[in-house]
Amino acid sequence: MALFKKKRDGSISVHLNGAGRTFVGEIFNQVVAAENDPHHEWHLSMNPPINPSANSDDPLATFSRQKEMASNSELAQMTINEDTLNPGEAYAWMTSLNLALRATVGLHNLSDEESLQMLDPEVRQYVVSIQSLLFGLADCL
Amino acid sequence: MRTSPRFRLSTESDTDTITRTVTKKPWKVLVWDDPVTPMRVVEVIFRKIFGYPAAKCTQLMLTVHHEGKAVVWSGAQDRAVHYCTQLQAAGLMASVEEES
Repeated sequence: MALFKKKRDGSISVHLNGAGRTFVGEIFNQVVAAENDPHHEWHLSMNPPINPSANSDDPLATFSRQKEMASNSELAQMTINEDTLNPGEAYAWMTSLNLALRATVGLHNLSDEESLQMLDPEVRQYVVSIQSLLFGLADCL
Repeated sequence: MRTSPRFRLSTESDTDTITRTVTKKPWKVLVWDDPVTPMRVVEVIFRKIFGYPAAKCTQLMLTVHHEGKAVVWSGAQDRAVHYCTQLQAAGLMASVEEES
């Protein structure tokens, strides 16, 4: 059974069991925490430079990015127990999961497929699980 | 010779005036390849943020994958920064730079 299924009306049904929802919910919680806490291990990876050639980024641009991230991850948090998502909510799930993936990549310095294979099995399983969720959501959007 | 009150003959000072047109260089939004984000996710994000047709999203995604990066948008600086923040907020590796 697919993890997500697009219905005729455009909504997306969620077929995660309790453990799956706990796993996903914990990721959303981590993304929200990382946005708000500059000391969180994911924070730097989630806040890369916008213009790398500039000494610092425009504060308004970084604020705009934080607002967008917060909006998505908080919507994802709010809908974690829903059986059906609308496309906007599903997109919020997808981007929040992708942010978690990006943060994990940054934390473990994954630069290519080979470095992914060299990962600790537990972290690799974590990455693969997020990728499976992303595949499922992207196919519905 | 009579000159219309609304016009006057060219004078030396007029010919010395230099009109300069300042053209701002466009800024480009770059998306960089990464080893983990599924290709389909990249396509969905491009479609959602830029509204590009599916074929263009696929072509840009493949350019990112094969060449390591792609210019996904080019134009005014403020819009480039806006799109870049949206791409980053969606978890993609993106940046802006001024066209050389």
